[in-house]
Amino acid sequence: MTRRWRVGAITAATLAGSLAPWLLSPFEISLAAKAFTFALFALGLDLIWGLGGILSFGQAAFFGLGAYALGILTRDLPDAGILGLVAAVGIPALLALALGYFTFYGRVSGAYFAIITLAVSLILTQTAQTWVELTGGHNGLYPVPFLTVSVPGLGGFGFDSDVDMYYLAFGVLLVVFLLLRRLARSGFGQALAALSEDELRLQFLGYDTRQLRLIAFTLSGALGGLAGGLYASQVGFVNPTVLGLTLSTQVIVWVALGGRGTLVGPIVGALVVSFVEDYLSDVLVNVWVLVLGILVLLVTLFRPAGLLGSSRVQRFVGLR
Amino acid sequence: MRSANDVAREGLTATVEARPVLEVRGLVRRFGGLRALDGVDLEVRSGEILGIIGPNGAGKSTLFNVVTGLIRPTEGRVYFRGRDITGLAPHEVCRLGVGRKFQVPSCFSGLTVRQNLQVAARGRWPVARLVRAGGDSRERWSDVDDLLDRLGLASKADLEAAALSHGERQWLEIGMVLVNGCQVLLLDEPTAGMTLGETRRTERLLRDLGGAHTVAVIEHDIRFIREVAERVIVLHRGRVLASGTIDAVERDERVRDVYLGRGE
Repeated sequence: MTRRWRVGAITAATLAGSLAPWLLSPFEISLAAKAFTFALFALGLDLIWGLGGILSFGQAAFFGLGAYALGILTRDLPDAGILGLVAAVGIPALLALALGYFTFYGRVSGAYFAIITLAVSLILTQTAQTWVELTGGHNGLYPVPFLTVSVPGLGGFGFDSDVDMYYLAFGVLLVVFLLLRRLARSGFGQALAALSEDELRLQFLGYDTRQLRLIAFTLSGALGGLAGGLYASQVGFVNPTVLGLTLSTQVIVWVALGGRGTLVGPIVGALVVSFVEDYLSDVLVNVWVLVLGILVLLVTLFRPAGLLGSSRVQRFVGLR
Repeated sequence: MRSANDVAREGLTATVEARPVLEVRGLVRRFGGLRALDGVDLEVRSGEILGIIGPNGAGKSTLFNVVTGLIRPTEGRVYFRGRDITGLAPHEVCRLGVGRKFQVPSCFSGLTVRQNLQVAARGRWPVARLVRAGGDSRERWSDVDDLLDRLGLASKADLEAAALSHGERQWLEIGMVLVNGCQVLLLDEPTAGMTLGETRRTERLLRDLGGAHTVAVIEHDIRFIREVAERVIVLHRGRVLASGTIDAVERDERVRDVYLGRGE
């Protein structure tokens, strides 16, 4: 029964996402494309935080690194979209792998892990600001061309309109969601859920918990990078704020508001907050931040697991 | 996944082995000025159920912690099937075949009873296999189903472990250690907090393991030890004070002194 509803919900979401561009204004389409990449970013955090129980406070490091990787490569080689995407995924993944290796295998955990990830994103922000030849410094990279993927012998395809970018972001989000859902339901996902409850018990059952964490964190870094890469080609420029504390905090807010550990919650959180933010910040400017802050406070106090954070939602998504 | 028969067969062949399965030599563990373990020598023989008793603070749990790799010994070695396993990480010790149940029942409260057992059953799988396993968490496993029946938890298989009573959580954790596939089981106070009826059931469960598993069990409940243990070791102040059958140990003057608190 639940299964039929679940298939129905995924089909409905797919249809809605595919048809939406006919109903939306061009501005809203580009807004939605951006919101999808943020949702992708939030999914990456949900993997390590929601499912794995480890809070990374510097998730923007991966997003920003992905954005710069794609931005720099396609600035210099406009047709190298595929290479750019590979770099946008691969470089942040390598950073997460190295960072995770030294922290998890060095038995660093909890708050220290959050601080280390925060420090890394600050270091990267500084680097991006000062290494002007590579990154354009404070002004950033401009323009980052539309994504063009070309396969030798087959010709190329340019995602050269906002609608193309919309469908690209939507498709990637959908595929990543389905893959993550599958991963969360696998033996690996169950082990992650168990890990966030009682690491010691899991070790005594033969699980190498350091390895589980390292894999989850590396994947989470890769997803952050993918989102960053897509973002760079959507908005057409990259500046150091994509690496910064604000974005790291925002993604935590999306996941926490939506409901961590549900996969659906973080997507909804990212979409709703980005849309409301864009509308309200025109009208209310600075008041919006205040409203968001109060909302976070209320949710934390009265619904600590997030708006969609309940075992019913988890069961509906098929995670339990 | 190994079947219960495979496990039993391994147990039978193991019984024939002359060497002890688990061997501890000269184990010392200091915490600051305290010698929690002060030169412990002991062996656990294949297929036996060994009872470990002793007053609080005697070093019983520390012994398990050192053997399973949670803490390193200050001195001394631990051997499993003749292999030096001193200083291996807990998951490595488990992968070799030493399973452990904690003093406080520790199952995963947010997972269902069945999922707890599934997680335990997959404990020694490589990651690639974990990722491929189970698109459907309701997959049927005969080992897990058998165990659910034996533990009397079949009707609660799809409840979250948090909903279980204390005794049921203890059984669930024992079940997790069993389905994990380890041949040697270290059980730390498996009947703590159980009612008399529950304790009886646990006795039967342990006795049924007979021969197929090698068990070392820490307990304060002497009656329970009498029911299940073939051999008993008494720890006191980090040393082995006495060992033998429960009757012999109970007659031992030094043991009586320790338990009744007469002199030193």
